[in-house]
Amino acid sequence: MKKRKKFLAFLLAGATVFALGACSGNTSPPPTKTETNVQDTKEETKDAPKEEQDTGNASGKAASEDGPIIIGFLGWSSGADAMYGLVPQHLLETYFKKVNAEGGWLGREIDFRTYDISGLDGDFSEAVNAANKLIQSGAVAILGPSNSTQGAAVAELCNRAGVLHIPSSASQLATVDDQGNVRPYTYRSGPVNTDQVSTMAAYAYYELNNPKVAVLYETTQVDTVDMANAFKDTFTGYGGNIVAEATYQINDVEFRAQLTSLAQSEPDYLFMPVMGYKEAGYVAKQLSELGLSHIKLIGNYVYDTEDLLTLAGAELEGCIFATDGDIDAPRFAQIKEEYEEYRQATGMSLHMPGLKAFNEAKILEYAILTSGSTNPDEMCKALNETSGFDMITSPNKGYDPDTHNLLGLEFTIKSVKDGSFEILGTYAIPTE
Amino acid sequence: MIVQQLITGISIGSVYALLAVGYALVFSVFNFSNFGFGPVMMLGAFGALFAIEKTHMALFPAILTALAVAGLISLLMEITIYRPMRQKKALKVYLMIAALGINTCVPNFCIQVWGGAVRPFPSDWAKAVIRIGGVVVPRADVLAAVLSIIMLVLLWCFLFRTKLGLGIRASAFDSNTAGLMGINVNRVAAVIFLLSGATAGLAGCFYGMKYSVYPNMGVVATKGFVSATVGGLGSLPGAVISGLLLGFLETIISAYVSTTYRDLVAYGLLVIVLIIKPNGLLGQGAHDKL
Repeated sequence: MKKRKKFLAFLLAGATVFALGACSGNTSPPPTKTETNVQDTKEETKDAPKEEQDTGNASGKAASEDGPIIIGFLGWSSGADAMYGLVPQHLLETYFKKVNAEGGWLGREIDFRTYDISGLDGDFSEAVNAANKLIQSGAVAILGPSNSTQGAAVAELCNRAGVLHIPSSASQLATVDDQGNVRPYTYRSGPVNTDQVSTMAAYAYYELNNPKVAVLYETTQVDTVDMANAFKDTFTGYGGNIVAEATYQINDVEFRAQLTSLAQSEPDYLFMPVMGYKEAGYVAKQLSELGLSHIKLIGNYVYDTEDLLTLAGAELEGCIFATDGDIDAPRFAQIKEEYEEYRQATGMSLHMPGLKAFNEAKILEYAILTSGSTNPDEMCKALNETSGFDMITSPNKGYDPDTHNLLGLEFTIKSVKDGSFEILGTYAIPTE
Repeated sequence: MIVQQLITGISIGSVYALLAVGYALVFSVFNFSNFGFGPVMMLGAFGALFAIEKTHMALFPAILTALAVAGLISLLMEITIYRPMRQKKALKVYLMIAALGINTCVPNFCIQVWGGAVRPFPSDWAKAVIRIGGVVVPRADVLAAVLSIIMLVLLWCFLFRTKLGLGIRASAFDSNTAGLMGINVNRVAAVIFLLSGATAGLAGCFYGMKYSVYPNMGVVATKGFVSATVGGLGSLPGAVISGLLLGFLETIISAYVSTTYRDLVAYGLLVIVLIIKPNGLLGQGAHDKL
């Protein structure tokens, strides 16, 4: 009897360890295909700083030049902001399945591993743990995350280990460190959010005839604080007037107190940069409830999702925002068609942050196929030397060597009219 | 402006109050906080949403559906999780840990099944507002206030005017002794969980009407727990008063100070209340529960 109990306890412990292992974030099945194409493994290190060459991958297994190409994705796949992790995760999984069906890259299969790093309100420890696991397992590249607080933490690790890192984090600090030095292994997958917001401020000042603008922003995310500051600086720099400002905190759903106060300054527009679309929807609805629907919202690319229209389409009438492209354009038709079944099943619409995350795969694909290698320095060299390539959201003109920001991007400005998005125009980043 | 802020505060506080009542009910008898309350609230709201979307049910029957769904889910939690644990003499802290597990597991399961998108509550009636002079009162808030009062009165009548209510109050005094005196504690537990689930379902419905329905909406239940604690865990009037107080405090600080200081001031004051009155505003001891 005792022996049987011991055996059962052992069995249970084994099962627990197995279950924990299974839940540890790798959602891809183990790769079965072992077709290899051994590449020249000669180290090309002239682009990497000395200290990083010395410590590169010291903490983990070096990325292999043969066998499956391990690619990690860090996304918010649970919690309140899960749609920002699950949608790109689905897009990337579908894409890499297709790539594998066609023989992989360089004849090597893609081993795509996804890690849930909670949501906007999660601390960055989960992102750091996931990045460490990927680095230790010999990942060729880490894609994501999408917010800059977590993005900067992952960038630090990847650059220490010499692993290519492509986040859609949009603040400057993801690709440039505290001293202002570019992080050599981190490349941006979309525009810098402050550039986009500055474009919006210029649009508001010139095209909307210098309206009275109030600002409402969330105070714990570096992205939203950066965007609020960039908008205020640009708008007042042109001679505009910010009549009032208020703040909110992450996961807030109730804004009527702030809106009632802001309305005392009689703004025409309310600039509200967000990292999750639901806050914008709640504000639009509560403005309408308070009889303040004459105050229109000015937003950022996160507004670019049909889900926002579902939440508050009528109340958003007249809202304007800058985004990375037009989801209804023909270039997205195939993606939308392929995505439709998933949308039907989950109720989550395709959104611009998800497409920006898809850019990450295209940038990595360009780096690997152009360099013909998965050596991080070879891939960085390919990205440093490019004069442009096509991504999911738009073409680009390569990377700025000082910041690893993408050059040559344009922004589309959209408005909400009759419950639908309407394109107002396409604008370039304002220059000095 | 101050009147508008007051209305907003009451509106937020009414949801906290309903949630706090649910916490207080369970705590009053079993001396543990059911942190699985958030998912119950969420599932109730989804029950109403699906009832309207899939069967074109009218709003009021849909609210009753939410009450029924949330009540049954809460009962199911009691029968399948808490009761077996109690029967195995698990410490109260383990019941709370199990509840915390439910609080994390269920919303994430729902995200995988229904997706993470937020869904507007499909009722045009609830979207309308009533304007009195310069003050705006959302119709959903009026409904929330009326139905919450009705529910609390019914709850009070049930607890103080029925034999089963007497059993519950006896169990709240001492569930072990009540059991020895012939009161079926499992039956009392089933009723308590059913009732607390129904209050969560009602809160979920109103929360969904005011904001939206999504798998993680249950995080607001934490505010209900705080209200229940400050009101005096186990005290129904205390739960209602502190829920309203918390909603009002949050609103006033957001409007006149800053959201940066909202939680600092609101929760700081709550800590001070607990230092001065360790059993909460209206909780004085086991004999005063309910």
